[in-house]
Amino acid sequence: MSDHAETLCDRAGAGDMSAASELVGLFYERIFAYFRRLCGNDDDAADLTQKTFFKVWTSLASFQRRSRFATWLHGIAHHVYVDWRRTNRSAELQSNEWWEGCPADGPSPFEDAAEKDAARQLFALVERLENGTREVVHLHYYQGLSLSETAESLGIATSTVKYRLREALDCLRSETSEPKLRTV
Amino acid sequence: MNDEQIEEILRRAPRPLAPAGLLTKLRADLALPPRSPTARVNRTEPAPFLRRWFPALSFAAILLTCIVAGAVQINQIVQLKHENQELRVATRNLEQLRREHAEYQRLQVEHQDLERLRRDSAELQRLRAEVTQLRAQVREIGTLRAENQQMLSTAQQPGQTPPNPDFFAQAEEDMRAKALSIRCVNNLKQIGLAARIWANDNSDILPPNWLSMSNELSTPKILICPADSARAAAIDWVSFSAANVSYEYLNPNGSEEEPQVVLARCPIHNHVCLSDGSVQQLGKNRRITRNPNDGKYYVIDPTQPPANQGANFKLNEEMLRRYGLIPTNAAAPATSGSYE
Repeated sequence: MSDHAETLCDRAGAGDMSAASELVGLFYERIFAYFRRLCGNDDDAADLTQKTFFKVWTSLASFQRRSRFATWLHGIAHHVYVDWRRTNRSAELQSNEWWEGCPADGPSPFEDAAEKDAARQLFALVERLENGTREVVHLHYYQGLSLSETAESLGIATSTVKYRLREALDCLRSETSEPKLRTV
Repeated sequence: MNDEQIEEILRRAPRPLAPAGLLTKLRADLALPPRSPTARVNRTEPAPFLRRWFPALSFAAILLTCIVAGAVQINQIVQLKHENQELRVATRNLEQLRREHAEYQRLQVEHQDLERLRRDSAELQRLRAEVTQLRAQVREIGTLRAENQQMLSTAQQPGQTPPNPDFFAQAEEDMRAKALSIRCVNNLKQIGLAARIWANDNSDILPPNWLSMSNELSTPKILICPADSARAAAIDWVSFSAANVSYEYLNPNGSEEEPQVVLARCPIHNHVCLSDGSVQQLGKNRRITRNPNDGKYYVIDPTQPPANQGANFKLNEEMLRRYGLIPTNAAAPATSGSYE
């Protein structure tokens, strides 16, 4: 998929509309899901997705191909989300029902009764983590980016990503045993 | 719950579905920038590679330069140390060399003194030998004086002929006359040489008079016989006249190919210079005579028989003509040895 995405990106950069349309079809669900988990409502997520792809098309000529297209796209999405957060809008917390209603790519953690409570608790705890840590968790675990891709998308060092992940896991592990969370 | 379980659950987080019309909206909003040939980046272009690696390459170049410079300096330091070591060794030997040089100088001075002493000794030996020789001569002089006294006393006895008191004066006069005769011969030789040089430059024709060969003669003084006290030499060739010549010029405009013809003659010593430049001292027995056929002078000896009567030796006609014994005119018959 990666090579196919790079090829489509090259063609779109050369002005191929069909390649650009295919790129949108490949990535719009992931980007929308990313925004939807962060924003908490569908309308904002759809607007942010539109803004993200608008910036992609306007910045496609300056894409240096130093990273994968997906990494570059998530980096733009992150900046779009940061700009959105600067408008003093507060994200809505996701309800447990919403999480349970979302489809999963593989076996959903809500299908197993043993993991159901743990999943509910974990997803809720993630939403209450600090912004930087929460974005790292979203990109690495939810969006499936690697450590270096996450670091490149956020514009930080890989070691910082590792540190934040370690911090998030420690927090989640401690909170699942002892529910003592910091307020966002 | 451990970390692996937490990560597993987080990775399997459900994905929210996009609204139904979102894809259509996104595709409708597609607004690709205009195609620009420069927008596409050529990944094979070397410029980005160089731009990316320029800091590392520049650092490597600087490091390499520093290493090379350091190596060169280390090499120079090693060479200087080596030279310093050599100089120290040479300096160590320098004192010994100075001492040897001073010893050599001293020996050389002694050798020079010795050589001087040897020369002085040889000179002393030679002087001693001379002194010995002189003493022997002094003793011999004493002996000769005694013999002379004895001879004088013997001569003063009656019946003995007294010695001529002008004996030594006569001998001195004879020697002086002989010296003058030799100088006269020398003058004639120079005259003959000058005449031949003049003839060599003038088609083998001898000069017509004395003044003609003034350039070949070094000075007018050689035209005066040393024994001729009646004439004086001219100061220069401008004031030259017949009164300034002791010799007779007998072959004016003659040919150099006639060697037997007399060119000049000294009337005082009877020396003649022939046309070939040779000089003969005729003395009392021989004389010159003029050939009436050609008007030239030849040397004859009256005491000798004529050439065609003596020892039956007869010159052929060619030889007679060459030596001027027959006239060049073939009609005239050859005469005998009398030319007067």
